[in-house]
Amino acid sequence: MTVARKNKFILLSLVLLFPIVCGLHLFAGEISVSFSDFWNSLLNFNTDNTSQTIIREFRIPRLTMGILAGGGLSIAGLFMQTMFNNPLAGPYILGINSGSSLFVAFSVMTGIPFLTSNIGTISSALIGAFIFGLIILSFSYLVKSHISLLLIGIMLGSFTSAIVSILQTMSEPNQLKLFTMWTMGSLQQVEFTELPLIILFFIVGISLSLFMIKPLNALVIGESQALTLGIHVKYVRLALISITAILTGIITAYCGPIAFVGLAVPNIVKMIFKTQSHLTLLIGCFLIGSFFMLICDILIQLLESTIHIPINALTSIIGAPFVIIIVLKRLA
Amino acid sequence: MKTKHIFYSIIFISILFGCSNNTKKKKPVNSNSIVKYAENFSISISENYIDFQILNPETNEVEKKYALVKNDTIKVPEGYTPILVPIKSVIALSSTHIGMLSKLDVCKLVKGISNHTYIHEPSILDRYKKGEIIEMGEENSIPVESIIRSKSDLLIYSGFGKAFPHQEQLEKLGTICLANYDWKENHPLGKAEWIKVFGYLTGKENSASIYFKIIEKDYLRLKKIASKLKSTPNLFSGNLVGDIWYSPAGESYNAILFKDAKGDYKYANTKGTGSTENSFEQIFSDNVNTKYWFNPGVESKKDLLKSQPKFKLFQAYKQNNIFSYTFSGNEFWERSAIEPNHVLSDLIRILHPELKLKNKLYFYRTLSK
Amino acid sequence: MIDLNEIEIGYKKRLFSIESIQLLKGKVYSLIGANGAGKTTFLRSLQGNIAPIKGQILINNTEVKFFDRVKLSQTIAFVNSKFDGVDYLRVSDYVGLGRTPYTNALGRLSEIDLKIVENSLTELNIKHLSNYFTTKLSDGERQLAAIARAISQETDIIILDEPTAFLDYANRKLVMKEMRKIATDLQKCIIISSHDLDLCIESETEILVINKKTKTLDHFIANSLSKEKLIEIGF
Repeated sequence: MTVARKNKFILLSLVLLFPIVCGLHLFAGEISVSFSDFWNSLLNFNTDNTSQTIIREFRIPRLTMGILAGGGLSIAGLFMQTMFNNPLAGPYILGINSGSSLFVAFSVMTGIPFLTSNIGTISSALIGAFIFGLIILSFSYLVKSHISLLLIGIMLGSFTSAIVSILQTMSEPNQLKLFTMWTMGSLQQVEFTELPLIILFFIVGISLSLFMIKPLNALVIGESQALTLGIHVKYVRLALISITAILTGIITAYCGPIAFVGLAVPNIVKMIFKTQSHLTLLIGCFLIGSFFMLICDILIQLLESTIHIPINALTSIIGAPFVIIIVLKRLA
Repeated sequence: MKTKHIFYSIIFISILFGCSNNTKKKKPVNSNSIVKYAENFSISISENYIDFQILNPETNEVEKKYALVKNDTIKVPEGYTPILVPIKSVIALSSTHIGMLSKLDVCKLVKGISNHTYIHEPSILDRYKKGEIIEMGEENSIPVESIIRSKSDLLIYSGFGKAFPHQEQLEKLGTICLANYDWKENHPLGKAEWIKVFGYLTGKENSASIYFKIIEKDYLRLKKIASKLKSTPNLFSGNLVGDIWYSPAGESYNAILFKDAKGDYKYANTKGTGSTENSFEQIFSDNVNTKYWFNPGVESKKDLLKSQPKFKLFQAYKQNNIFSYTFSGNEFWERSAIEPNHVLSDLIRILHPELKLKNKLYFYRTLSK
Repeated sequence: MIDLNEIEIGYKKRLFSIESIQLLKGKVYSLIGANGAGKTTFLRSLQGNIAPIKGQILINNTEVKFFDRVKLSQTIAFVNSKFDGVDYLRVSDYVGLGRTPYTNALGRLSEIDLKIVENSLTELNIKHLSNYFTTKLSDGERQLAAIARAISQETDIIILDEPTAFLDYANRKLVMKEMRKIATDLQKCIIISSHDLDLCIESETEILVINKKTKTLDHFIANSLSKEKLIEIGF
């Protein structure tokens, strides 16, 4: 079997597996619901029926956010890794999440009604992610070493968390509480009625991503080589940062900062597909990223009766050792 | 400072809920008549001193023994720390301490507090502004110098099973440290009974005892009224922290109050004096049609929805039956421990409008828009 | 192919001038000069990255500064002195990147593109390596792959920046031989900057040398110059 065919086969299997994992996730919760509740909740929703409400208002948004957060952050991580030519890059470690956090903190704590509204929070998260993306981009021109750039990202993170904690001391307890809740991270903040807008954002982000495949493939062999292949590297970088900001920003706005998914998943995907074809990697990142997130969340729900694990904690527990493995593998 | 506010809120929430899931039944060590409800201290009269012992809430063993003496020539037995009473000055680090001192009208003894932004008591605030009271900061990071500078006889802190930092040196320099476990008392009257400790320390033991009798009587009267009622409206309590909902466990302070107010608390049968954890989905399916929701930790429906938009699906939300005490947070923390009758009165009034009680709500309000 | 008439090359300060040189298809030019004489600046000027201080660089009678990025990439291919390979990047995919200037917005390779890639690999006798990861090749193989990528770019001009600097003797000879062959077979104009005077003379390439005394770029046809003379002019 050729590589391309093998990869197509893996992708196809993942696509077929997708509804199964979604199904497992939908029905993993402690409260048992039936399949007919599921259909009724979508087609024939009765607001007085608790099971239907649980499916529609709790499970479906949670499932959707799991898919989008896992898939979106992984794609953002893939972009960062190719763009900075650095397998340890990712939106979280480079401080792009911190940008969102900082701006969300600002907007929540100003107490200005527009800024504390949903749209305000999302725009803040998007702008923050974009600005911090630009900052890390400009630093990437100054430092050549991979590790230096990561250190700068981590420093950006420390810097913003310092500013955020100063902001916290100045804010009203109520606003502080809201912000603290937000930083804990959750897939459950979204309402059913908000899903279309979020999905729309994602479709825009992912559609734009498709046009990045060609430049990404070329960027793999370095920026200067990509230039000689006719790629407008400058615009491409801006476009990549923008898409990353859309994907990371909207996830961060709704789910809080989620660590390590964007870093770990693209590496897993490359190990599985053993290719640098970004079409394959993009689809792979979306699918495996979603799986990663959903399986984490299924685990959380299954363990609920014994222990409550926040989603952030679980992704970090799995993701952080993974970073160490990659570092060790690089050194070897 | 506002971070501290949150920090304290968390501490206070744990005060309300109790921190442990400790399920063992505790019995007072000695069955003297001075202490009736409280489980974490004992007081008995000896020949020439008052034997006052702090009991560790986790182990139920004696943590520290004090001998309250009227003059310092009296010899105290081995293992006892003497406290010369009435004390002349005190550092009171928790709101409940201030509340109890205020009830005994001895706020003038206070020389140090934790943070003035959590204080309601006007006389304390007044003296803080005049510079007569030192602000010490958070309990775990108080500079020793401030304590020494205040030249206080006594420092009362919320006990966590450990000695106060630098306790030995402080006591050598004349400031005795006293762990207060009122926040670990599960029975509302047990919490209130700590006023007796303050009474003996300040020489106001008689006032304390009379005051306690009054609130005890009132509490039991209200409880009796409630017990005769037919209706037991259902209720739930707490809020999400992250994705986890903490409800007071069945043997906790809040659960006892709910029961005494004749409310049907959803988790009344859970074990433990601390809190019980549930997933949001579980809480929703248990309580979507529950009538009352207490202690959501916010003041407005707007803030409630901002923290989690799905709250609007709850019946309690739709029917405006969410009640919170946070409107006057500081006042609540100072007074609720020592006025359990008023907390109970609030709950009964809310749960049983059919009684048409005349008095107003003391602490609770329904959430604003 | 490339017309260089009355040009001054330099970036901020003038490095050397060119009176009149024409670079033609089917030939390999070795660019020789001391360090700092301006080899890199010259190569970058040819690619339109740096404007000459004076005069115009004409490629197929059009001034190079009017080329847009895509047109440029369809005209000039560039090979670095070293390609380290990339994890999980296979030789065939790497050579396929040469088709980037021609593919659609999604970068998908057509049957024709794949055929061109295959031909490039065949041209350099590395077709057997096409499924290898670029990280698993020897230095020489990797440089051949880089050249194959440049060939698949189907440009009239290929510029190589010291392509043999990191190779052993056998591989240097091989690369130069291949370049000669490509120039003739595929009718390309190939410019190679190099420090290796022996190799340039041995490989019978045309010589472009930056004259140290006159600060001019001098053109010598193949086999017209001894190593000693070359050193005298350039160093």
